[in-house]
Amino acid sequence: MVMFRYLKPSAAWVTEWWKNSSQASSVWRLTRLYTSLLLLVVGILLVVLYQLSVGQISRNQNAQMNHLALQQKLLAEELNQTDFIRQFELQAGSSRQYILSLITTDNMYGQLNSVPKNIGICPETARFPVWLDKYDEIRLISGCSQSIEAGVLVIATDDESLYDLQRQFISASLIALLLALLLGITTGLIFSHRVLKRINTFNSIAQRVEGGEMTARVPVSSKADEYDHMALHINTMLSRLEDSFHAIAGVTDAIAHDLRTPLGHLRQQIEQGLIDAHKSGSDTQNLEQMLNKLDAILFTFKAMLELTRLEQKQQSSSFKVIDLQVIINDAADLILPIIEDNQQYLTVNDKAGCMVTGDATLLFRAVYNLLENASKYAGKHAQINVEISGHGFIISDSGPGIPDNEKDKVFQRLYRVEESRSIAGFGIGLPLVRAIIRLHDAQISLQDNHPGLKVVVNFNTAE
Amino acid sequence: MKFTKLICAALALTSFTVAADDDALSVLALKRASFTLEQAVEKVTTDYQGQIIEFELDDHDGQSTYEIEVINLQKEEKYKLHLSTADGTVLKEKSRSLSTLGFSRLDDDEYQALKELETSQFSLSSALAELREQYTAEVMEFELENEKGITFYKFKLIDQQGRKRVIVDVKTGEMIPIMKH
Repeated sequence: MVMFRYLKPSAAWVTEWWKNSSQASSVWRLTRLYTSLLLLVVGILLVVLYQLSVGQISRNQNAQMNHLALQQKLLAEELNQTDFIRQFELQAGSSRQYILSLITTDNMYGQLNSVPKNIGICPETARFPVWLDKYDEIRLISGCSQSIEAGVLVIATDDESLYDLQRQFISASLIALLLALLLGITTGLIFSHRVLKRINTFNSIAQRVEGGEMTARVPVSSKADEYDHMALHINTMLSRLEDSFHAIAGVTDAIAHDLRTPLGHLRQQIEQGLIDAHKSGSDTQNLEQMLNKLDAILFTFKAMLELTRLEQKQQSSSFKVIDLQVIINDAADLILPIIEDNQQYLTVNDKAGCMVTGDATLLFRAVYNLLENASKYAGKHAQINVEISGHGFIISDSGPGIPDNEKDKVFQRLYRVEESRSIAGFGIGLPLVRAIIRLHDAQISLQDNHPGLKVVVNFNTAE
Repeated sequence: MKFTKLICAALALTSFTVAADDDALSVLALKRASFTLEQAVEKVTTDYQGQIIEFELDDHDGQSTYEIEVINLQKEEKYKLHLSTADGTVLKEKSRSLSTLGFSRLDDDEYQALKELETSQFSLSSALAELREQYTAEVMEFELENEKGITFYKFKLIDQQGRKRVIVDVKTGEMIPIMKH
C-alpha cells in the first residue's frame, strides 16, 4: 500500500530523467546502450539457465504424469476391473514420487479421498491444495485427472520444493538484473566522466582559439592513446594556422608600410599641385577629386591595418572598469550635429547603468561607428534610440533595416549591402565594431526593429 | 531397561483409552444436546455480529457446553463463549480487545483468513448441515485457518468408526482432498 503512494512521483521522476538524459551527451547515450545490452545478455542467460534447470524438471514431471495417465488408461481398457484395481493399488503403493488415486462411485483407492476441484484434465496440469493428515498441514501439489471406465484417475506430484526453487530463482534473477543495472550505470558514469573530461579540454581550447588566443594548445598526456594522437594533430594544425596568420599579418603590414610612404608622397604632390593651381588660377576640381579619392584609399588602408591588429589582439591587462553610460553619452554628443544635419532624432535611455571592463577608447569607437551607421543608412526623419540595459546596450533605428540573409555578411570585410552602394563607405565599419566587441568578450547581434535595424550588444557582466 | 519400556507402553495404552473414552463422552454429549450446534452458530453469529474462528466441546460447572470463539472485526473484539448444550444460554463470556496501543494482536494469517471469510459467500451453518448429512457424523471441533494463502475450516468429525477430518475451502466452499501416507 505504501509503495503505491510513492509509485506515481517516482514514475514521473523516471520519465523526467529519461527525457533529460535522452538529450544528454553522446557518452551517456553510449552508457545507456551498453547498460541495456548488459541487461539483455544477463536476461537471456537467466532465461536459458531457468529453462535448463527448473523448466526441465517441470517438463519432465509433466511428461511422466502424462505417461502414467496414458498407461493406466490403456491398462483399464485391457484388464477387467478387479485386476485393474489390484495393479493400480500396487502401483499407487510403490510410487514414491507420484500421488495416484482412483475415485469410483462407491470407493476410493490410492492416496486422495476425493477428486480435487478445478483440476485440469490430462495433459493440462493445475495446482491444488491437499490436506496432509500426517503433518497436519496444507500442501499445494500439481496434477491432472483422467476419466476412465472405472472412475476418475488423479495423478499428481508434490512439487512444492520445485515451486520454492522457482521462487528463489526468480528473486535471485531480479537481484542479478539489479546488480547488472547498477554495474552498467556506474561503469558508464565513470567512463563518461573520464572521457568527457578530456573532450571538454579540447572544447575549451577550441573556444580559446576562437576567441583569438592563437597560442593555446591542447595538453598531451603520457598515455599516448587516441586522444593524445588527436591532441597532437590538433596542436600541429593550430601551429600551422598560427604561422599562416602571422604570415598574412606580416604581408598586410608589409604592404601597408611599403605603400603608405609612396601614397603619402603622392598626397603631398597633389596638395602641392593644388596650391600651384590656386596660384595660377587654373581649374582645381580634378585635383580635389583625386585628393578625396586618395584620402579614402588611405583611410581604408588604415582601417584594415587596425582591424588586423584588433583581431589579433587579446584582452589586455590595460582594461579598466568603465561606465558604459559615459561612453554612450560622449558618442551621442559627438554624433548629434550630424544627426541634426540629416534631420533625424536621437534619444538616449540610460535609466539602467552598466559597468564593463574594457578599453574606453575602443568602446567609444564602436558606439560612435554604430551611431554613425544608423544615421547614414536610416534616412531622413528617422528616429534613432539608444538604450542601456544591465548587460549592454541596444541601438535601434526606424530606417529600412538589413534583410535577414545579409545580417551575417555585413560583418565580413569590405561587404556592402546592395541597396546601400549609393552611400559612401568601404564596408569596414561593422567588422571593426565586431572586432572591438569580441575583444571585450561580448556578443553583437543584428535584429529586426519592425521597421529598421536593432543592434544588440551584450557583455558578460557578472550580474 | 525393560521395565521402563513397559511403563512407556502402559502409559501410551492408558492415554489411548482415555482418548477413546473422551470421544465416547463427546458423542454422548452431542447426542443429548437439545440445542444443536447449528443453532448455536446461528445465535452467536447474529448476537455478536462476528465470525466464528474456533469451536470445541467443553464443560462448565458440570454442564456440557459449546465453547465458541468469535471475532468482530469492526469492533476489534474477540469473545470466548460457553453456551449450554441444553438450551443455548451463554454461561460464560470473556471478551478481549484485538488491539493494544494501536497494534493488532491478530497476525497476518489470521487477519487474511477473516478478510477472506468476510468477502466469501461461505455459510458455516449450511456447511455444518452438509457435513452432517454427508458423513452421518457429529462435528466435534472446528477451527478457521490460513495456510499458504488458502483459508479453510478444519472440522473434526466423530462417528462409530472414530475420528475423521474434513477440510473445507472457504473461498470455493469445496472440500480439500485429504492425502494419506
